[in-house]
Parts: sequence; structure tokens; C-alpha cells
Amino acid sequence: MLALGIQLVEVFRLDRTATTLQDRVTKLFEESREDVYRYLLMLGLQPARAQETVQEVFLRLYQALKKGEDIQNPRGWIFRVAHNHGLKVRARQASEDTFDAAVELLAASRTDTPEHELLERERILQFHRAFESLSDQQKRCLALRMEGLRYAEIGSALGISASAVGEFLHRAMVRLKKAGQ
Amino acid sequence: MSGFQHPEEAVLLRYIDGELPGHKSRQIRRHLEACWQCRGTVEELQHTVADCVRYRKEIPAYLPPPPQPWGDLSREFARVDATLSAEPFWKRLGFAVPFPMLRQALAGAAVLALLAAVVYQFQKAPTAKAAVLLKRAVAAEAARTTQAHLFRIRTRNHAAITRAIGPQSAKSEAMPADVETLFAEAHYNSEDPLSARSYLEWHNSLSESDDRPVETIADPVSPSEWCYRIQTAAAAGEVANATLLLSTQDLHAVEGRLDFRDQNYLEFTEIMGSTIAGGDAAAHIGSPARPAVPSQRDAIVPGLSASISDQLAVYSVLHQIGADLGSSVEVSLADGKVMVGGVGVAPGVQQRIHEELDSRPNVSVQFTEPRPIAASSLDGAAAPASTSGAAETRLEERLGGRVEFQRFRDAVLKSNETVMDRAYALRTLARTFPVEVESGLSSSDRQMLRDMLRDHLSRLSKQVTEAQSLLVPSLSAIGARVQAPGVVESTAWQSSVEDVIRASQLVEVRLSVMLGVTPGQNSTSTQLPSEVLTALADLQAQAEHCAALVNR
Repeated sequence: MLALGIQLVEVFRLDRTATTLQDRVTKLFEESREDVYRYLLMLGLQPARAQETVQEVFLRLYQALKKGEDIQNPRGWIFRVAHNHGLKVRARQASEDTFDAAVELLAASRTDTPEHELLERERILQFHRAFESLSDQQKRCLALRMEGLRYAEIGSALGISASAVGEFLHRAMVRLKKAGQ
Repeated sequence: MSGFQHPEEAVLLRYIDGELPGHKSRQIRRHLEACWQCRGTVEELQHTVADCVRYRKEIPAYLPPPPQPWGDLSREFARVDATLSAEPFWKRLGFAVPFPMLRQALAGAAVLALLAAVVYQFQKAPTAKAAVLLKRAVAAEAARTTQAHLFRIRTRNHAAITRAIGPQSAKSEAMPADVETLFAEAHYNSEDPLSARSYLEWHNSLSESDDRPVETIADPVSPSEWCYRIQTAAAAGEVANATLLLSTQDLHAVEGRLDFRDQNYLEFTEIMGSTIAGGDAAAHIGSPARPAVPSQRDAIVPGLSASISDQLAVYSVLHQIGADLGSSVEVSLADGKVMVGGVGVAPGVQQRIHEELDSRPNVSVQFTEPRPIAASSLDGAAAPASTSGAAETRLEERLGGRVEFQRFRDAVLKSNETVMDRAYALRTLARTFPVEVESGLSSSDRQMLRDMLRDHLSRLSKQVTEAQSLLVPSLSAIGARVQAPGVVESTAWQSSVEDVIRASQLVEVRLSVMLGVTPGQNSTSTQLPSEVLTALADLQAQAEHCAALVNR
């Protein structure tokens, strides 16, 4: 009887420890880590914290999947957890300043930029300024939308309704459109 | 929208984003075919979308790259595996078998064999080393520039004594003599109880002790955070059991508890956000870094002119006028005031809020971008399906045509949106008033809070019942069956609310896929209708469980 029990346990364990699960998470990690990292910088995390948080989020995904959680869209899940966890981490980095993407400085430091790329760089910077001028919620909605999340998924990440997401996105688009003109 | 009444730009954005219900989407498409003006608007939107795509592609070159090369997750997987294997066996088995009926069957058929295996498992389970973790935590503590933090002590006879270490020591309340005696009896450092060092010192002083395997659990105060739980049983002395929770992030102690043999206890809990690495501690406390999502444990720090009680009163007013639904009104404590604001709040609602709250001291009402939001709340919840799912087709046949189906879908989605609004309102309360904050409330405040919770929960339940009455007849007719709802486990209403949220999100996802609102990988699954009904039953069970906890 003990043997039967152990066998049952091993069956369940094998089911979940199958390397395919690790492979799936690793693949998603490789595909999406830079995107999540960028999102966390946008939230105001310092680069080092952002990087740690990315890893933590993917481990949580692994843990959740391993526990048998029903995750329909892992990418949506990742961004939702990254958002919520990211805000906590940002609150903790009290002694440091909130990360402010010093895009302008970095751009200026790239003195090797070929002439023909200067125009493109100026356009990106102009767009960046417009993006930075959006409200926090607008920025978050837009950033998550750029990552391919649906309104309902964005709403679930930010704790707002899908129709509110539509409204934030629309406002953001109106401002960006003006900036682009 | 008939004839030449142009759709709003926001609706056009939802259209190109594929977020409109099928029938509405078709209406817009027909309009666009006829209307050059709106086509121009859509093109402008598409142009901005293209700008966004380019921006997303180009911006990494201008951002600091990750400071370290990306690590290999596989080693970390092993850590997660080890932590999971330290969980109680029955719990893991529970997760491994997703269907309650199967679980019951298994339990019935193989209960003896499993029991034997459980014993075997416990003997074999790798014990995560509590002592090693404690030592690491002590080292991490020592490495911090200052140990400044605020915490609260509770015992059987004292609800909350605020204490402080470091520059904020002026905020410390006197330690009552009987609490001091408890610390002495426990041989536990009363000066800095909430630290790994004090726990380790106590641990080392025991002649005989038994550490349980370290578990990783959700932080009881902010459930989306993770903690390691160290538990020690002492064979002799006044203290029978001790527990320390260490943040998985940086191993700082967030909660500790000593259980005495005479049923008394000493509990020390971090006041969140109060650990400061340097600088002006007092200036930091009470000015949360993120006003939209304030660190609520800051809110109970004495000395603020507005208190958590004022914040509760504001929630209560918002609740009475129905402005706590839809999540667009934000309430936070900052600069000694209860700040009420939000973006995109309807002008009528704004006016009501001003009327109710402007006269209150310590409350500041300020809305940004006072532009009216679109009237239809349904548009945003829905997206067209490129292809009809199996359930959608069968439902359409069953209901007698496309028009009937659309009416059915709109009713169901509207019902679902109402459920989600209630669930999010509950979550706001659960996160604003975590267990320890709630325990610091006066009894009348607690009553007020619980009344609000009860109201939300009963309306949520009613709405779920309504959704069920819409769905059960049609879905049963196409062969759907309800499986037994999942297990309810939470012991505090706050964590139960998180279960309600998870359950309602699952309902939303499954409904959206089944009704063809959101494309889903398994929209063709014949199981979807059953899954929808099961998710609804589960949500109902979670809501009932939560209500029972609220009433306790």
C-alpha cells in the first residue's frame, strides 16, 4: 500500500516537475524579459531593482504554474504581476530616487550618432517627451497596450475596468497625436 | 449611431483595437465605408499607433541596459521546487489535482495508501534550513546602514503599542509593565524584537528546539508580497512556538510572534514603509511615495492630521453615493490629508463628491482632466471575435439567431462588468484596511467598514446569481455541467477578497472567450460552457466564504 501511495505521489510530481514547464518559462523569460524590464523602468524602478524584479516575476510564474494555477495568457499574467510587484519594490527603494529615464542625457552622450540618424533621434526624443507628459495611468495603459495586452488584461493589471482602460488610452492617443503633428 | 451621426474617436480606437463587440464593430465598419471623415480619423489614430510601435522599438537604445547579464533561471527553479516540496503534502496534492470531484474520488479510493505516503513524504522532505536563512537575514540586517523602523506590538491584553527603533524613537509609546514581563519571561530582546538577530539570539538560547521546514507564504498584510516563514517549537520554557516572517526580497523581518504556553502571545508587526536607510525619517513617514497607491501601513503612524479613520469615512461617503464603483475615484492619505481624486470621473459624480466632501476638514478633492467619459460602459468590455467559437455558435442556434445572441451577450457582459466593479471595490477596501490596520480601528469604524463590505458582497452575490440565471438555462441546454466549486481556504476576509478577485477574473476571462469577445486559445473547446458555470459557482462560493468571514 505504501508503494502504491508513493507511486501516486511520484506520478503527480512528475506531472509538474516535467522539464517542459521549466522550458516554457525559460522561453517566455528569454522572449519577454527585456519588455518587462523596460516596463519596470517606466514604473520608476532603478535598473538593478528592475532586473531583480523581472527574475522574481518569472519565478512566480513558474511557481504558480507548478502549483497548477490556470493561467490562460502567461504574458498578460507576467505584466500584471510585474506591475503590482514593481510598485511595491518602487515603494521600498525609498532611499534611492525613483528612476527617471534620463533618456535625454543618454542620447546626448551618443556622440557617435551618424548624421542621418540625428533626425530620427530627435523624433524619438520628441515622442518620449510627449509620453513622459502623460498621466501615470495613461502611461501604464499605453505601455501595456504596446506590449500587446488586451483592454481587459490591462484593466486587471491596473485594477480598473476595461472601459476605463479605453478611456485612458484614448486620452493618451489624443495627446501623442498632438505631439506628433 | 445611425445615419451620419459620427462615432466618437474613443469608439474608433476601440474598433481598431478589436475591443468592440461584434455587432457594434460591424456597425462601425459600415459607417466607415460610407464616411470619409471618420476614415480620416482612423488613419490619424493608426498613424499614432505606428509612432508608438516605432517608439517601443527604438527606446531601448536610449535606456540603461540591465546592469548584470541575465541570470540562468534553472538554478532558481530548483529553489522554487525546494520551497514547494517543503509545503504540506496535502496542499500540494490539492493543487496537483484541479478537479474537486477527482480529488474526492482519489481521497476515497487511495486514502490509506496516500496517508502512508504522506508520512513517508514528511520523513523524506528536504528541510529547508531555518538556521541558515536566519543567519543570512542577520547578515543582511547588519549590512543595512541603519536599523530604523517602526513596528507595533500586540498581546492578548494590548491591541497596539507603536514602537520605534532609530531616529523616530520619539514616536515610541511606553512599554507597559506586563508586556515587558512577557519579553523577560520569553528571554526575548524587547528593545528590537522585530529583527532576525533577536530571533536568532532567542533561538540559540533554547536548550532543545525543533524548526519546521521554511515555507514561502504570501505576506499576511500585503498578499502580493512573499515571505519566508520560520517556525520554531521550543521544548521547554514559557514560549511554546515562535514564528518569524522574513521578506523574500531583502530578508528583513516583517512580522514575528511568540506563542506562550498560557495562550498569551506577543506579536510584532512592521509598519510598512517605515524602514529607512538614512535621511530624515519623519519626513518620509506620512508622505507615501505613490499617492495613487499609498502605503497603507504608513497611514496608522500617529501624528498625521488625517487618519485612517478619516479615510474610512471618505470611503463610506463614496459608497453611499455609489462613487466607489468603476475604480476611477482614488482615495489616499498624503500630506496629512485624505486626497480624493481621479482621472476621467464623470462630471456628475465629481459634483456629488464635491458636495459631500468639500466641507470636511482634512479632505482635499481634486480631479484632473475633467473631460466626460464615454457614456457606454459596455463598449470597453468587449471585442469582436474573428471567428466564432464552438460555444458561441451553439448558443446562437440555441437562442434563435444572431440578434438574440447579441442581446444575451450584452446582458451577460453588463452583469459581469457590475460584478467586476464590486470585486475591485472590495479589493480597494481589503488593501486599504489590511488585518493589522483594521485591528487598530475603533469598533464603530470597524462596524462601518464591515457594513460596506457586507453591502458589496451581498450585491456581488446577487449579481452572480443573476448572471447564473441568465447563463444556466442556455448553457445547460447545450450540455454544460457545473463541477463542484474549488476549496475556500482563507481565514481573513482580506485574503478572501483576493480569492474573490481571482475567481471573478477567471469568470471574466472564460465568459469573454466563450462569448467571442476575446480571442482565446481554447475558444473552440467544448468544455468552455462548463468551465464558465464552474467559475461562476466558484465565485459564488468564494463570495459566500468572504461574507461569512466578514460577519465573524
